[in-house]
Amino acid sequence: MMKRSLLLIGLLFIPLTAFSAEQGDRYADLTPVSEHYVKKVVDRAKKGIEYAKGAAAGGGGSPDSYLKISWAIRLASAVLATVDTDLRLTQQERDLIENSPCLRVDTLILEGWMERARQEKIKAMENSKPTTLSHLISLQRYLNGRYKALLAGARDPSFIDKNEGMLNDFDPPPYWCCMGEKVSTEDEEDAGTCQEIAQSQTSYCLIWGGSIHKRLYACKEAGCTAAGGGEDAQPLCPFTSDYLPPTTAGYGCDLSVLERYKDKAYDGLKKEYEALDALIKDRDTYINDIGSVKGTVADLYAALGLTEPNLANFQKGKSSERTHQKQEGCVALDKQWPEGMALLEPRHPFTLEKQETTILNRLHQLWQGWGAFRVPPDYLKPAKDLLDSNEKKEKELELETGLFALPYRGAKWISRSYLQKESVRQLGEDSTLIAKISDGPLQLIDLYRPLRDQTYSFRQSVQSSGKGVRAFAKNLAYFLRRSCIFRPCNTSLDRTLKILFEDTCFPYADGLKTGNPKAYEDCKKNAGI
Amino acid sequence: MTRLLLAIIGMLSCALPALAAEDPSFKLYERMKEITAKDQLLGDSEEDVRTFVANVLKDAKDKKPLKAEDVKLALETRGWEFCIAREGLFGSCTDLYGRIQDTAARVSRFRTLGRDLLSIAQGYEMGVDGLMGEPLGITTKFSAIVHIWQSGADHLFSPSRELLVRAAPLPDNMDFSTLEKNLKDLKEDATNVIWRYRYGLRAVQEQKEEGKAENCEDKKGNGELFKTRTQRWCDVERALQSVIGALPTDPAKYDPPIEPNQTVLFPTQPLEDVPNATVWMTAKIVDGKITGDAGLSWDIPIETVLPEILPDDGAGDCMAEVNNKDYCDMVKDKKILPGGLYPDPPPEPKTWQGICALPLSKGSYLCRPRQGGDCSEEVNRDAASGTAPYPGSSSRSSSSERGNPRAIVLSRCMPEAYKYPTAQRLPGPDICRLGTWRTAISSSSSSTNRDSAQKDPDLRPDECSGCAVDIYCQETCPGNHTGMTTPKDANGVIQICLTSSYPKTSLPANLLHELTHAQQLCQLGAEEASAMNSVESCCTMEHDAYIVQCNIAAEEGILDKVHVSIDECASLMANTSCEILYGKNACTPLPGSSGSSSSRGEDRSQKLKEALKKAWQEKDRLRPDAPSCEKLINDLGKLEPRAAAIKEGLKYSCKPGCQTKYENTIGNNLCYVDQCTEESVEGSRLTPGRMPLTAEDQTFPWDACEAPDPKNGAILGLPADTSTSLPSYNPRRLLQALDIAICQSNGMPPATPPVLCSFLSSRRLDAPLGDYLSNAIDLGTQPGESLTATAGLEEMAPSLGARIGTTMFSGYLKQSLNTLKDLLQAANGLMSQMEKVRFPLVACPRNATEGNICSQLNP
Repeated sequence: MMKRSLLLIGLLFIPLTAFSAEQGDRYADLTPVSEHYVKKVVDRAKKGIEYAKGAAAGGGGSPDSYLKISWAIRLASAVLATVDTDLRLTQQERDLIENSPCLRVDTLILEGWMERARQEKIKAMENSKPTTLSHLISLQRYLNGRYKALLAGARDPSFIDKNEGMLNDFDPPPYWCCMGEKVSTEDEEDAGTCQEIAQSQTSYCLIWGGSIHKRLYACKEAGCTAAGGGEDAQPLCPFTSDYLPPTTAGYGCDLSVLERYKDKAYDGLKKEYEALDALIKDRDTYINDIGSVKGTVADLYAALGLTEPNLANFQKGKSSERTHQKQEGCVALDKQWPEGMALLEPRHPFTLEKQETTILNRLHQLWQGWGAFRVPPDYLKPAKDLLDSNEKKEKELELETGLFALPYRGAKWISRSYLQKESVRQLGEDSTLIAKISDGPLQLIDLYRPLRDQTYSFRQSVQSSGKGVRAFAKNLAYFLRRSCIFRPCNTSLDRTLKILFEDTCFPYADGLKTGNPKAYEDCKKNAGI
Repeated sequence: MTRLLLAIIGMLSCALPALAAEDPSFKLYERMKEITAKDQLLGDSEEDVRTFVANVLKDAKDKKPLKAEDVKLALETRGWEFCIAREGLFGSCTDLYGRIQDTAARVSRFRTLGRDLLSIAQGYEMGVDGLMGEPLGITTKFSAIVHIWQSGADHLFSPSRELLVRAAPLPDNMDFSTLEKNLKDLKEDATNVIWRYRYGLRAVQEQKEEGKAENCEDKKGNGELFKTRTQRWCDVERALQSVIGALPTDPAKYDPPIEPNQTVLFPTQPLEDVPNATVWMTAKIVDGKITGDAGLSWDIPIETVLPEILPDDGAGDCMAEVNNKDYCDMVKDKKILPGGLYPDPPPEPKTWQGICALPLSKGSYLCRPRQGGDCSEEVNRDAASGTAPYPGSSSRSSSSERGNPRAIVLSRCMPEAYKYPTAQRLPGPDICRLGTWRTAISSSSSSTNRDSAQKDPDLRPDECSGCAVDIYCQETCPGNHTGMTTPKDANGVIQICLTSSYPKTSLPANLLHELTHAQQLCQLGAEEASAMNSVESCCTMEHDAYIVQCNIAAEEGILDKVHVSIDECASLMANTSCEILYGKNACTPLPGSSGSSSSRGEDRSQKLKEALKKAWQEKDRLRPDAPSCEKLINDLGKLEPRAAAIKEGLKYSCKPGCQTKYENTIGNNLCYVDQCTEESVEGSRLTPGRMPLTAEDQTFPWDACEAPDPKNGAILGLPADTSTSLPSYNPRRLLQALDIAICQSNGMPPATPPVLCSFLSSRRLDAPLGDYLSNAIDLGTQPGESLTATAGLEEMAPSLGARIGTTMFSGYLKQSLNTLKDLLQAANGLMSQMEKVRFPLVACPRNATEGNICSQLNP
């Protein structure tokens, strides 16, 4: 038995060190890029570790008799099961190419804290402190969940990390209690409001049917009201624009952010910083040098008789004119993508081609996401979602709480989840319509635009008698008419001028001639010849 | 008598068949028949005759006085009824009957004689007396024909006063109903009225005293010719006055404007209720204002006015101062006018009265101003001494014809002195350069080019003129003349000085004189003008200008007072202008004397000048409201349209963009065409400079004005000549990328086939769970974890392929579309350059190297 447990413990080491051996926790103390999320998480983890360690020192509540082999075995399995499985296998997994260095820094920080927690856990196991151990395991789970959430919501401003507010074992008081309805008469005013409680009041809260949360917003989510704000009043969103690729408008993981980490983080970041710096310097030099071209361009266009192009953006975009902008946290829907913030780099980092794979993948996932939001029809909605008429709602509630409530609700749930799956699949397939059907013509329209402009002005030059060859012929006819001294010359030039002045005699450019085989008669009649 | 009458009838009816047929209410034959019946006392006798006879044969002792009705019965040979009415059957009744008929026959004979005589006189006067509405309208037609053939310049330069008439339409709402009613109410008297007012209302009003319009009084008088010579019908006069008042008097309503000696004829208007009668209307400028005149006339003057045989009721006056007592007794007692005694004959009308007051008759032979008619001393003396009053008569050799003041000059010989060519450009004299054939276009003067009465140093010729004229008024002008014109200066401005100390009424004449000089000098530069320094040139130029001045003086009646003809005036005045440089009498050398000096001749020129000045001053007194020099210059178009027309004549006729306006007569058209031809031939080349007809033809050694080469199409943005490049298509690499993506989505390094990425057994086996079942389950569910991502990629793969294909296609197309766009852009550029080609406004000039002619071509 002992041997087995030792073997298991030994086995515990290997996989856990396997993924954190490279980094260790040396990045755990870096200032996170995302102050509104990762920093909070890190603070909570720090407090949690201290609490866990302190709890053990204080004695805690659990006797050492918990240290049983079977418990350890189950514990190991549970930890192994959660830690490994979906750590890096999430739906929104990004590979090395897509993650920006800033996101990498934050993930490194979280990994560092995970490592720290693991080390503390090992110490706790060595010191036979089961309470600390359980706290730390719960901390690891918490950090795992946050890691998942970070990866899921790093680029998605609409992603809210709902579970962050949950109460965990490692959380030190104070907590928030959301009182239920079964309250005594003295505490009626407490019903429905979030109250801050200490460790000793937790059981009191639970007796009265309440729930305990660590963050105020989680308490609010549970249905209670809370007065005032505070830093916990709003839910947490991991999104920050500093994770996104840098853009000229000021958003993204640019030099100003990277600068903070270039000497403290991993090597790759320093190289990234240097490369970006060199690129921007080259770009600035280019922008400065190109200024001399402006005059030449204007002269060239003037010499060719073309209208001058719009040079309003000439020499804009120098790095000195760029200020860093940031958008982070939970953003209102209509402000989520301001101009200049980019989700993706359209081109590969190493080639100039567009990274179609990533772009289309994103499109696909976007459409699938829309599919997931598809609203089920009324007969599948749960009763609380029926909003249009009250009697329908009443009828549904009856069914849901009546005799066959459980199979009824179960059937509805199964149908809804089937519908959702099918919607996701359907819209995922539909997303191919964009590339197959509408992309081609749209690109062509774009391509033809300059040609269309030229064709239009070419056509215009024959539409009016004051332009193009018509004007020339008109002036020539007038000039010749002044020197005409015999009648056939006069009548011929007269006729020419009448034709030139009459627009219906030039129907070709308008396409008016097609379908009108007698267009020449209109010309004759209108010109009066 | 009857035969005579019938002859007259025949004459009239031969001449007027058309007119009689047109007038439905007046039938010539019916009228003749009526008159004849009256004469023969057939049918209805005249009431006057009846009353006369009744009054003559009335016996105071009769129980029943004889009445006109009784006479009627007698004349109608109803003797039985007559006697019954007289209540006496036999004896005196028959006697009276006979006597009535006898008396009536005598009266009728007398009246018939009157009618015959008058008809004869009218018949002879028809067609030659210049009344309006006459069927033989040769005078109007003649004037019209002359006018059509004339150019506007001619009449100012003719040595005789010409009659200028023009027609104008009547205003729209003229009302003749009052006049017609008045005439209709007068019945028999209408004839008298029409005869009375046949020379117009104004002539009647001015009859009594010279020049003053007398007020009308409805007098009655007893004279046999009272009604035709003295009586005035005030209603009719008022009606005529209202007709005159309705005529347009605003000079602006006449286009081209009325000249001071022009008469406007309005169309005659037949009077509806009075058959055979018309009303005629004219208008002319009198004392600076347009005044109208109106009168009545006959279509066919067949009605006669007979002497009265009955006195007017309530007339009372039997003109006792001229008639003796017996006469007056007869008038009083018998109430008849015995006749036979007439007052003194009327005074002979003055030259401007009566027939010579009518516009068309004015210029006729009978009414011509008789030079020397008063036998002034100079003329008589000249006639006696045999000097020629007319310079033009130098070609006449016989002395008997010299000095005859009544000689009619039918032709004019131009002396050598006046044959110098003036009004010319370098190639030669210009046609129609002098004169007023053009009408001023009111909009043509911009504010910068307005000529004020002061010196305008900024005045410049506009693009349609060869010169600009700056007229200014000064107290005295250099040379002490009435005006002075300087040749064109370097800026193209001709200065004209007008003396404002000379009588104001002479200003138009002086102005036109100076403007004629301007016309002569307009086309000449300063050097060329100064090269004209011979006697002939001075005399010719002055003579031309003075012809105009004297013509206007003649219109105003000045020459009548001074008793010289226009020719004389022009020649003698030319002397005064040229005497500074060339001595006295430079232009009219007397025969037999070489050169210039002759005391008598010199007197004549100076004397004429002083006489003219006096005459103008007299005119000034009569017209105190004549415009002053400043007023005249500032409002030239309105006050003196002829001067404005002369100024207009300074312009080019055929420059493109310049307007020419003239009255549509043959002469004016010829002037226009000829000036155009001249300008074209003299100013431009008719053949281009580079058109060799044979191999040896030379092109012109100088070049026409060439505009700079616009270099159309010199710079064209032609598309680059690039070859089509197909974009690279590397399907293997794409598939590899897809495989990599699939593996990376699972967090695995790439592997081929990618299905290997979906499952890594070491993940679980390196970290086994507590029991085998959990391990197995976990291993089983491992591929499912990556399924979503993989499925997503697989679903997305077709759109990836489509997108890559589209990208390749647009990459290829972009190149060729850019090329096509550049091509079209170049074509557009060429088109727009083509439309900007400027054609010159002026034909190729001759002598392009001289001066800055080429600047005309680059507007």
